[in-house]
Formats: sequence, C-alpha cells, structure tokens
Amino acid sequence: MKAGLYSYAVCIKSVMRAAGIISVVFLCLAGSCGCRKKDPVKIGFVACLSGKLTDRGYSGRNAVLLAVEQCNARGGINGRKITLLIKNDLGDPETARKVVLELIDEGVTAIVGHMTSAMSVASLSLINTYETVMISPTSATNELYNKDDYFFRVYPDVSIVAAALACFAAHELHLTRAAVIYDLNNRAYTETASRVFCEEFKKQGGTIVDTLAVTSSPTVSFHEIIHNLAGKEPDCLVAYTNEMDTATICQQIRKIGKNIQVLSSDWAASAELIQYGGEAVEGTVLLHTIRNDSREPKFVQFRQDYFDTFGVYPGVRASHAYDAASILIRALRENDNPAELKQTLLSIKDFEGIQGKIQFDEYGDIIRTLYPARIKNKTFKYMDKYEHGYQPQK
Amino acid sequence: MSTATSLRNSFFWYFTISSFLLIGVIGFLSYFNISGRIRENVELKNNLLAHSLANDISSELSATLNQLTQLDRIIHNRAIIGISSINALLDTILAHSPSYESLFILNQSGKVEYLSLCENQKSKKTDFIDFDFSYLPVFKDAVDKKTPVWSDVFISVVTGKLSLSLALPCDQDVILATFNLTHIDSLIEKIQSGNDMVTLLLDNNGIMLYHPEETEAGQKISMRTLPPVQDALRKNFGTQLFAMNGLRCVGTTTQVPLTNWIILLAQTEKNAYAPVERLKPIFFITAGLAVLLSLLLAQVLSRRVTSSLAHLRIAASEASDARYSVTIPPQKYSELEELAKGFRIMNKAIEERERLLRQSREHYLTLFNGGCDAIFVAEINNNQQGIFIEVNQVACQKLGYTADELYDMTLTELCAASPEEQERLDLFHHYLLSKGSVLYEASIIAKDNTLIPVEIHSHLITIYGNRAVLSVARDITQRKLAEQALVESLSVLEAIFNSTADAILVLDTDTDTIHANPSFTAMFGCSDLQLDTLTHNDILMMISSKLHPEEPYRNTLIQLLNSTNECRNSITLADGRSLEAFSSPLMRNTIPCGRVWSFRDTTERTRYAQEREELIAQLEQQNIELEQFTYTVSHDLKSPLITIEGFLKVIKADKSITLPPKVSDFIDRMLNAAGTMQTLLHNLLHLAKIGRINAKPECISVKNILNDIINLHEHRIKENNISLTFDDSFPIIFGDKDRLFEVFLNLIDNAIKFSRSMPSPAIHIGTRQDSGQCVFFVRDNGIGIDMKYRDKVFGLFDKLSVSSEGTGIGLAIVKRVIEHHGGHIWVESEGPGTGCTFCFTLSDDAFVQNEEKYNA
Repeated sequence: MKAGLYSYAVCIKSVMRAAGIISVVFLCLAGSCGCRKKDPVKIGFVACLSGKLTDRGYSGRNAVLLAVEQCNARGGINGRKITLLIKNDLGDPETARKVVLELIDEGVTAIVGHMTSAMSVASLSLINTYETVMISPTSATNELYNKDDYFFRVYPDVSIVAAALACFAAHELHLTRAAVIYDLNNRAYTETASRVFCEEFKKQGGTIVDTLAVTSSPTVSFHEIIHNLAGKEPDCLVAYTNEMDTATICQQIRKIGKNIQVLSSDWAASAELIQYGGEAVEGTVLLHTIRNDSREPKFVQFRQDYFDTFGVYPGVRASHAYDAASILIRALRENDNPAELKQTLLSIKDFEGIQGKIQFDEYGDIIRTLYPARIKNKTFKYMDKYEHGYQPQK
Repeated sequence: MSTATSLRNSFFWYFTISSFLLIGVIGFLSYFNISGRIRENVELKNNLLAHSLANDISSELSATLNQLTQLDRIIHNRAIIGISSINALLDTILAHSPSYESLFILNQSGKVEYLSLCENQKSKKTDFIDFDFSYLPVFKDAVDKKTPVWSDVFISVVTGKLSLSLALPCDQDVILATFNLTHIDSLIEKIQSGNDMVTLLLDNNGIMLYHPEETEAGQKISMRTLPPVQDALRKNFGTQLFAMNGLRCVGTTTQVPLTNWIILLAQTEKNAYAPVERLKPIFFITAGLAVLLSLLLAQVLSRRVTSSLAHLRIAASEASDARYSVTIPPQKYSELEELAKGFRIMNKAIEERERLLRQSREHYLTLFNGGCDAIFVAEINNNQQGIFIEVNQVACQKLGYTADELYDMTLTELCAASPEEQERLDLFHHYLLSKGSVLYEASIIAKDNTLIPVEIHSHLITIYGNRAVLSVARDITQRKLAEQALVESLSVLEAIFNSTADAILVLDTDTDTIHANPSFTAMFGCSDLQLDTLTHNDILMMISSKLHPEEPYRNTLIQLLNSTNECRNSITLADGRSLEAFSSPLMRNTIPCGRVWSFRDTTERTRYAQEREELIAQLEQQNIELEQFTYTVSHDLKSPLITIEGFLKVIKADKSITLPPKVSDFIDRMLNAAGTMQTLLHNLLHLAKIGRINAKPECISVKNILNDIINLHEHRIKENNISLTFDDSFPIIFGDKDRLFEVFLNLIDNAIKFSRSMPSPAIHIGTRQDSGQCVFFVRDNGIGIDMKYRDKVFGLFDKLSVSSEGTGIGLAIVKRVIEHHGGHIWVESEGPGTGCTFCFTLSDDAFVQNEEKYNA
C-alpha cells in the first residue's frame, strides 16, 4: 500500500483530501486540465520515486511531465489531453509488477518506465500479457534485448555499450589489463555489462585481471577491495557502480597512489560523481549516451525548458525519459489506437530525438551514438576526436 | 389612456428602492468591512504560522550550527584532547543526533581527518579517511566565504532521505555535517496538524522538500510554476490569491532565514475564508428581513401618504376637466396643506389664465380671421415652401377651399399657372430666404378657377423651432380696377391735356419735372426739347419774357410758384394777345409741391364781348324808345277815342233824334268797338307802365289777395259752379301789391275762363317746393293746352283761340310782373282736356325772410 502513496494518482487523491491544492500543480503539469469534451489519453509513468534511487526516478518523472505538459499545451493528441499516471516501483520487483498492473487496470495506453533494468525485467511478462507498450528511458539490460515483445527502450542495450567501452579501452586508450567491479544491487544491468566488457576486452586482446561484484554496506571496505585489485596490477578499472560508489572507488585508488585508469558507465555519469570524487575522479573516462554540451537546437531547447520548470539542468536520465515520452506521443498522434501502438512505434523511422534520430529495430531496441568523455577540471570533457560520437560495433 | 405610474406605487417603489439601496449599501459595506477584516486576520494568521515555522526550522538548523560551533571549539585544541577523543566525540554527537548521517572534519585541502558515520553507511568508516571532498561546492564555498554554508537539499544515497550538508569553516578545519530533514518534517507536521491547509517546504529553487503526505522524502516536485512560488523566488513574500485549474487558493509564503528555503502555506479560498462564508447567510438573512420590513413599511407609508392626496387627486381631476371650483379641505400634513394651498392658488391662476388665454385666442382668431387679408403659414422643407400648416378663414372664403383642402396645398400650387410664373415665384422665395421678407404681386387661383390678383407679403418666421413662411395675401382686385380706371383717366386726361386749346404748364417741385401741353408750346413758341432742358425758374422767366413789358403779372409770376393761393389774371402778351391766366398750387397730401398754370387765349372772346355790350346798349336804347312810343301812342289815342265814344253816346241818348234801326245798330256796334279799343289801350298803357312805374314794395298776404279775388269773382264762380280752393297757408311775399294782385287775378280769371265749360270745374291755388324754390301755382281742370304752345300763351296779343274772351295781353302782363319781381313763369299741361297749371316763382328777395323785414 505504501507504494501506492507514491504513485501520482494517489498523490493527487491525498492532496485533494488534504486541501485540494497540490493537485492543481500536478494537474497542470500533467496537462489533464481543460479537457472536457474528449476522453484523455492515459499514459503511465513508473519509476523508483523513493529511497536511495529516488533521484533518477525524479529526473525521469520530471522529463516525462515536461513532455506531456508541452504536448497538452499544443492541443494534446488529436485534441485529446494526456493524463499522466505516475507510480512508484520503490525499486522493488514485486512492487513494480503491482503498480504496472494498476496502471494497466486504470486503462493506460502505454507506460514510460522503468528507470532501472531490474524493474523493467520484472514488469516484462505483465506488459506482454496485457499487450501494453512500455518504453523505458534507461533500462539497458541485455535480458530485454532482441525480444519481440511490448518493451521498447531509447537506451542502447548494455551489451552494446559494454562492448563499445571495451573496444574503446583497448583501442583508443590502449589499456590491456582491466579489473571490473560491478554493483550487485543493479544486477540486471551490471552483470551483463561486466560480462560483455570482459568478453569484448579479452576479444580485443586485453586481460581481465579480476572481476568483483560488490554490494554497498557498512561492512564493505572499498579501500580493501581496491587495494587488493591494485595488487593485480591492472592498468584500468571498470566500475559498473553508481556515482557515489564510483566516486569512492576513485578516492580509494587515489589513496593507494596507483595510476589506474578508471572507466565507468552512464550510470555514474552525474555531477555527484565529480563532487564526491574530488580530484580522484579527474581523468576518469565514461561513455555517455547524451552529450551535455550538445548544441543541437532540440536539446538546447529541452535543457532550457527543463531548467525553467525544475530549476536544475537535466541529466542523462531526464534526457532519455524526455525522448521516450516524446516518441510515444508522436506514435499516439499518428495512431492513438492502443492495440496498434506497437506497430506504430516500430514503423516510425524519422523521429528526431533531442540528440539525433531515434529508430527502433524490430525488437524495440535502438542503437545510440556514444560520446566518450573524460573528467577534467571538474567537468566532463568530450573527446574532440569523437566529436560525432563513438559508434561501437554491434 | 395615461401610462403614468400611480404615485402610490411610485412612492412604494421609491421607498422600497431607497430602503434596498440603503440596506444594500450599509449591508455590503458592513459585509465587506467585516469580511475584509476576517480576510486580514486569516492572512495574518497564515503569515504568523509561516513565519513561526520558518523560525522553527531556522532554529532547528541553528541548533545544528551551534552544535557544530561548539564542536569546533572543542577540537580547536586537538593536540590536547587527542585524535581518538575527537573521533569519540563525533561518534557521540551522531549517537545522540539521529538526523546526522555523517560528520567530517576536513582539513583546508578538503581531505577527511576525522569522521563519524551513521550506522547504515555503504562502506567502512576507514574508507573515508583522507577522502577528498574538495570538489564539494559546499566545502569550497565555506572555505572561500569563511562562513557556514548550507548545501542544496539532496536525497541521500545512504538513507534515501532528503538531506542537507553544512560546511562550517574553522581555524584549521572545515566541519562537514550531513543530516536528514526528518526532524524538520516533524516541525511542519506540528504546524500542519489542526489546520486545514497544506504546508509545503520548498528549496530555494522551488522544488518541494516536504509534503504532508510524504513523510519520507517528499516528491521533489517543482513548484516553480505556482504563482506564489514564482513571487517567492523573486523574493516577494506574503499572501496572495491564485487560481489554478479553476480552484481559487490562498497562499502565504515566507523564507527560512538560514537556508533561503521557501515555506508555502496554502489552502483553498473556500477553507481560508470560511468565516466569511459563514457570515454570508447571516448577512443575507438579515438583509432579507430588513428588506421585507422595508416593503411592509413602504406599503403602509405609501397608503397613508397617498390617502391624504385623494382630495388633491380629485381636485386635479376636476381641474383637468376645467372645473376649478372644487374645494380642497385642509390637509393633515403641513406639506400637503402647502400643496393644497398652492393647488388652490394654482386653480385660480389657471382659471384666470385660461380666461386670458381664451380671450387672447379669441383676439388672435379675430385678428387672424377678421381682416380682409388671406393669411397662410407654410412650412419650409429643404429650403422649399412646403404645404400650409395654418390658414385663416379669409383665405378659405376668398379661395373657396376648406381649411383641410388648403392644408394639402402649397402657395406655389395656388399661384403658379405657368412655368414663367413658377420661375418668378421661385425667385421671390429665394429672395425671401435671403432677406427675411418679400412683397410681390401674384394671382391666386380660387377653387372655381377665378384668378384673384393679390399682393403677397411673406415673412420668414420660426414656429416650434422650425422655419416657416407667413404670407399675407391682400385682394387687390379693386386696386387693380382703380389702377385700370386711373390709367384710363390718365389717358383721357392726357388726351385733354394734349388737345385742349388752353396752354397748361405744370411745375412739380417734388419731382422737379415740367409738364407742358402742345398748346403751351404753341402759345409761348417753345419746343419740347427746350422744356426738357429748362429749370422751373427758366421756364417762368421764359413766360415773363413773352409778356407785355408793362404787364404787372410778370413780377408775380415767380412768386406764385411757391404760393398756396389760387390766382386768376388777365394778361397781355407783348404781341398783343390777351390771355386769361389761372394758376393754382399743386397739392400732394395738402402740401404744396408745385403749381399749375393754364393760359387761355381770350383775344377773340374779348373782342366779341365788346361787340355784344355795344349791341345790348343799342337794344336797350331802342326798347326805351319803343316803350315811350307805346305809351305815347296809347295815351294819345285814348283822347280821340273818348271823344268818339262820348259823341256816340250823346247821339244815342238824344231822344230827339230818331235813328233808323240800322243806324242805331251801327252806333251800338261803334260803341262796343270803342269800348274794346279803350280796354285795349288801357291794357297797353298798363303794360307799358310795368317796369317803368314801380310802386313801393310791401309785405303782402297772398291769402288776402286770394280772398279779395274770390269776392270779386264770386258771382262768376257760383254761376259756373266752380270749385275754387287754395292752400291753408302761403308765404308772406314782399313786392308790388297791386301788380301781384293783378298776377293772381289774371291767372284765376284765366282758369275760370277755360274751365267753366267743364262738367266739374275746379281750381286750386297753392305753393310747392321745387329745387329749393317756392313755386306758386294755379291749377285747373279745364281745357288744357298743347305744350308746344307753352311759350306762345305768354306772348302779347297771342290768343290760342280767337273765340276766347280777352285782349291777349293778360298773360303778357303777368309774365312782365313776375319777371319784374325776379321770377319765372311757365305752364304745365299734359295736353288738351287735361287741365293746366300755371306756375311761377319769385326772386329770393320777394320772400319775407324774417320778422324784421315783415315788420318793416
């Protein structure tokens, strides 16, 4: 029941019950106001909106809210406003399934979410059973790759990104000995990522000195872990961990005085990585799916709109969530029949995302350009050589 | 049917409306005043609550700050207390402050020197020794500013709660504490409880940090688009109404001093101003009751007041029917009594004014209709004369139309018969429009198509603000006829002037003109051209130059020009012609303006007069001589005749002589002839004496004369059975008594002579007035005379019948006596057998005009 309180719909009810004021804000943001003549198009959003992973959920929610609000401001979908129903999956698979079922019961046309791979995997059977399209902004797990189902995503499959990172480490950074640390709390993503990286890195002639799965807890000492790994003389350490853990790993590497190149994923690519990593994260290399310094008009506009609405600039997750909501809206504009939504999405070949074209393959997966970045002087510096992106081989 | 509202209803409604307005104004003013105060109180309360909460939060944060400041003082002498003691101290703080997540003491480079972590940290405490926090913005700001710096609120990856970092710069270190905001949540919940409002805690970007239903981490929803938040972000705090999605809300914002967070207390307007809403039914019920009361009061008052007006109403109604004698009783209310008083005065005034108005109207109608001029008033449409709007009776009578028929006509229709006439009338109309009035002549066509010449005097007038034309048309038929006659007279006069033998000169000083007829130019030998160039003095000088040099008239000629006297003179021209000059002043309105002279050539007449005088003188001389001859003959013949008669009588009387019968017969015949001849001579002598031998005139009574004559002829009258009558009275006459006796005697004798043969002879003597003259007449019913002999009867020896008696001298003597008395005699008869009447008059001197003369 607690999870329900975090859902958008419940939130509205609770606020209405309290004073009937916050609903105004939500309704406005959700764009559900003013549509009286035609039934609204219900779209669900599901993500973790509480707990330690809350930030990514909020980012996704805000971006989807923005996309929906902009759509409603432009008249909605063929005159029908969009009502966004927001659910909190609490980062728990059971809760995720439960709230997805609630959304389906409430008659959503499609769902944007989840923001983590594990939750997407948990909901997959439900959306396939009820033939409800789900578009995930950031689910990268390979478990959802190349499957003819109702799951779509605007984030590349982890195997592709991991392979790309391995290729990039081997060929561009000329690294040969890699140690891999991955977070078991996001196993659906990190296990595949570390495995594919290792395989690809080896394939590219590299050596994996160690692969270590970690789970954050007061008893875990990153210092000891790094110290041990360093003893195996890697020239790089690949961290499939969140930004705080990555920052800690970098700090520990710095503390032991080893010159180990840290490589990480989009998952850690946030300001907090730099803030908490300090000088230790300088030189860390990441493969970004979104270029924060992009001058593409759509991205610049989105970035400004997001800032105007929420007071902060959007991160990677917000950007992907915006793309996911936008392509869903585009598909519904072309055909708002939920039964044909999957085919409509697959048929879209010319959708311009905020950074380049987004085109689903037959399984609802996409290939994205990756932008290698190195942390330098407290910011992500995109490598000039890959100004137009680093295109990994599938 | 009057559409006016009744006073009672009006009074009722005015009172009701006034009451409504009064109640409404007072009610609404009270309502708005009270509701305004309630609103102010609500806003004040919300402000107080918001500030209280802000202060509470601030105090809570300050407590943390104070705690860390105390910590700073303790660790200031770290060499004394030892590293382990510091760590222990940090752990103690964390143990007693559940909201703390971590507590770091960093050196100036941002490296961790001491730390304490909460229980559920993700890694071992030792991992964080020498941890580099130099990139944390809060650290950097604290070092740079050397003041405590609060970080933005973030969701802790350790606890998943909204957390906050505080960097407190010390002498050597920077204390970095991270703690969650759960303790602040409790503060908000405390405020929240018991209030039907939402309390939101927003960070300085407008992102929601606390929501009443979200005790764990809030939704981190952006509230930046909410109007009160927008204002708060611009540092405008306070209470304001805002509408979202049709729901009106009241929001109060304030700022948390230390962190610049925003507190938003929000509630629906309905809830916020519920006291105002509760006030509404009270207000409306009270207002409704007041309105009902005022309606009732209005009804009662209107009845009371209007009942007092009943008499006035009746009086007004009577007055409207022109009955002003209604008595209005004294009124109960002073105002109504004043009104009644005024009404009475007004009634009298109206009555008087109506009378005056009627008089005035009658006067006006008399004036309007009473003259002999037709009056038309026509409207003006588009500067053209329109139809008549008023006509007088004279117009109707003259034209034969009814007023209604005329009201559909225009003056042009009445006058214009031809396009030329129409054009002429248009010109007059334009003149009228430009000058304001116009006088012209025209002909009006009456209904029976007779043309009436009229003189029209039109004026522009204004009636009821509209321009109109007042036209007065005067029938000038008589004037036209007079003009015609005048023209004809003038032409006759001119013909006379030009054809008369008399020379006529007219000098008109008014017009400075000279009129002279052809006779004048012929008489004075001047041409028309000369006359045209001469002045009045010149022409008088010219006339005087033609006069005889010694003629006195030439001196007065010029003086006469300006004289007002008439003057008649006989003058002589230098060429010997005699002229009779007559001059009279030329008058115009009794004022002399020149002079008229007429000159008649009397040269021939003067000559003829002289010749006649000479002839008369000769005839008179011859008459005298003839009368003397007659007298002489008569007188001289009388003596031998007496001798003859005497001797004859001696012969006859001589008895001694016997005369044969035949001789005796001859002697008788000779005696008769001698007697006849003697009578004849006597009469002739008598006739000759008339005019030569005049007796002294005396007053004579005609009646006495007549009585004497009747006595004289009594025998004859009776013998002939003649009825002789005369008037009862006759005027006393003054003259020769014997002669006048002779007149009446002869006339009566004559009447007896010629009427005695009639079956009933009758003679009447009397007087009659004829042309102011007293005519004496002697009328008989005798044989009468043919009037062709009316002059012959008065001739000497003229007898109409040879067989008649008399010598034929009697009527000649009568005529002579009458003429000698300045009278005239004539005979009147309707023919033979009808009788005749001899009439005569006497001169005025022959009548006694007064007693004095009579007495004399």
